Amino acid sequence: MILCAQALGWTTNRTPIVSDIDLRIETGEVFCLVGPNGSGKSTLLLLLAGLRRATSGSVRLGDQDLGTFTRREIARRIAIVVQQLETSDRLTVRETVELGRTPWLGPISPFGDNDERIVEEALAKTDIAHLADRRWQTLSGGERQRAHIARALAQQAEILILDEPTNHLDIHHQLSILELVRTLPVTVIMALHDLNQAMGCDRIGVMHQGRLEAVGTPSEVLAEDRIADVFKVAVRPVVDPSKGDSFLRFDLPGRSQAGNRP
Amino acid sequence: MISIRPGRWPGRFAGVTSKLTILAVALIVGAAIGETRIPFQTVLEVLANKVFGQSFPVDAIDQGIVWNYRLSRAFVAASCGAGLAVSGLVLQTLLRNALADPYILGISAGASTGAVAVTIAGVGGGLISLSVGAFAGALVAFALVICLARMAGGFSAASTGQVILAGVAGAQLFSALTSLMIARSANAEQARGIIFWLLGNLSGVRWPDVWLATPVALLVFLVILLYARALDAFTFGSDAAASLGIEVRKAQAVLIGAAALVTAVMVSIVGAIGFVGLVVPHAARFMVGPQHMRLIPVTAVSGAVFLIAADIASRIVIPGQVLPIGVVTALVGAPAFAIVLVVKSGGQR
Ligand SMILES: Nc1ncnc2c1ncn2[C@@H]1O[C@H](COP(=O)(O)OP(=O)(O)OP(=O)(O)O)[C@@H](O)[C@H]1O
Ligand SMILES: [Mg+2]
Repeated sequence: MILCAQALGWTTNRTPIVSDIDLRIETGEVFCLVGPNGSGKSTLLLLLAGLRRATSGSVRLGDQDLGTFTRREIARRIAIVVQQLETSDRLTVRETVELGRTPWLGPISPFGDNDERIVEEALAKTDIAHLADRRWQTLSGGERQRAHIARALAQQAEILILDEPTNHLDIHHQLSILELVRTLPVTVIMALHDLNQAMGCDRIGVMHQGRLEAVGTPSEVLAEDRIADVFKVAVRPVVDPSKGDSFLRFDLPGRSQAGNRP
Repeated sequence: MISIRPGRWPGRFAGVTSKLTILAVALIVGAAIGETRIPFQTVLEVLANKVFGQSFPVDAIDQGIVWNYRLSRAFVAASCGAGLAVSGLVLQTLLRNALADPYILGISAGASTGAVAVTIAGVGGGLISLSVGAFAGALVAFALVICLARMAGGFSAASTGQVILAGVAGAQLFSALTSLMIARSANAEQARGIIFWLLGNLSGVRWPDVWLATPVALLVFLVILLYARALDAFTFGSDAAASLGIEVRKAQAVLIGAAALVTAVMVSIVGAIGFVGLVVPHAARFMVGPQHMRLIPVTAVSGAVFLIAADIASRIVIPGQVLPIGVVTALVGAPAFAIVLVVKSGGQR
């Protein structure tokens, strides 16, 4: 299902936080947003998920305005993991992941075998099956993050929106979550801070001061002068001798010869 | 293999049966114990005579005490306990605040003020108009407390401490207004006394009160039960609930409205009984965990049993004298409030 933003903007207290976003995300695409802190990535993701109401422009899901869907209809199509979701309730990991089934269950319909299977699958894919009966408060930051991702997977939506999904994760689980979302047969829209990880996505959007500065494939978008301009860093592509592809190295501006340091 | 798990139909049936049994036993015990002890058998015989048209030979005075005084009182206590406990649960979940409860948030005090205002103004005069006044008072109090908490917490969502402080301020304000109105009202008999409205009292409850309290408690219970999954979805906040397909505004309006309604009706019948809504949901969570499909029925039944027990205690603790039931619930509830406070803030450290 195609998700589309047209002249999308969000203003609060007369301050425009996000403006003039035109974006079309194709079915099955893995799309990544990068940009400095406060550039509006999370706000844009919330707008795309319908959790913030656009103050200008619109979001379209398929051929309809997102505002014409009920919350339940949206929740069956779009799942989102936002930054820093916490609770003081003492629920277990399995109970957290079971929340993902909410949009598919009626008010009194019991949890079925199919729902249970989906929940077990989500627990396994995010490598937290062994934590299923642990209470939320006993989990580490990375374990909580994976539980949230599992909950979103259990929602079985066609579009998965993830705000910094690799946050708190160790390097193994960062790579495995990115690998997982790339192989899932769904559209993925995520915000990432690691530009090298962003290069593994189909397309990248660069956010800067509430605007989409550039959209395109990694090689089109991650030009050195643009990174230098947006992120205020010096950047050098370095070729990996074993694989032949290049990755990016960064330095603070004016410290470009960091390689001189021991 | 048939797994009997709560939430599946066989499990649900077993759960409903056992809860109804507990409730029935509590009601019968409530009718048997009092200043004069009446044997359970007599209580059952009275029930058989009155409900099923049997004709067991029962002492007329015993029959009168059981049927006219104690059973109606036990029914109101059960409805009130269940209603207030479920309201507390709903408020705790929606505000994501372990200390939320209709009494602490000033909703009961607002309902008292509303009911007293109606009494003094002399409109209608019946139980229903009293309840309508109480409902209006409850909603005004809740709106005031939330506004105050929002203002104190900047424009972010109201934080834990602010809501409770705002509630304390609101409760004090409305209690003062209630006392003022009663003190000023020309006809002192119109008001059933300051103690009644501020602490709650079950004496004087009769069957007409049951016909209001029990249906309202049942209705509110069913409405809230239909929102069990929605309440679960609020675990991680209202944005997370929305992303799980919950119409947040509608759910909040229905649930807060239901909590305010049941609080208002109970206040107009028995006055403001405190701490039931605080203590019982925590005890229920301790028993069955945080999922509302199990939590709501257990909270309701525990609330009913708790208030029947508190009522019995209020009648027998001091022989020959009946304490206002609010005194008993406060004696249990205030220490429980302290425990929740310590445990919850200890858990965050
Ligand atoms: N409700 C709000 N009220 C006021 N300002 C807001 C609100 N929400 C976001 N902002 C501001 O909008 C800007 C963009 O915020 P946003 O969270 O979208 O940034 P981000 O790109 O996700 O940043 P990060 O990389 O730190 O996650 C920030 O300056 C933030 O302070
Ligand atoms: Mg962000």
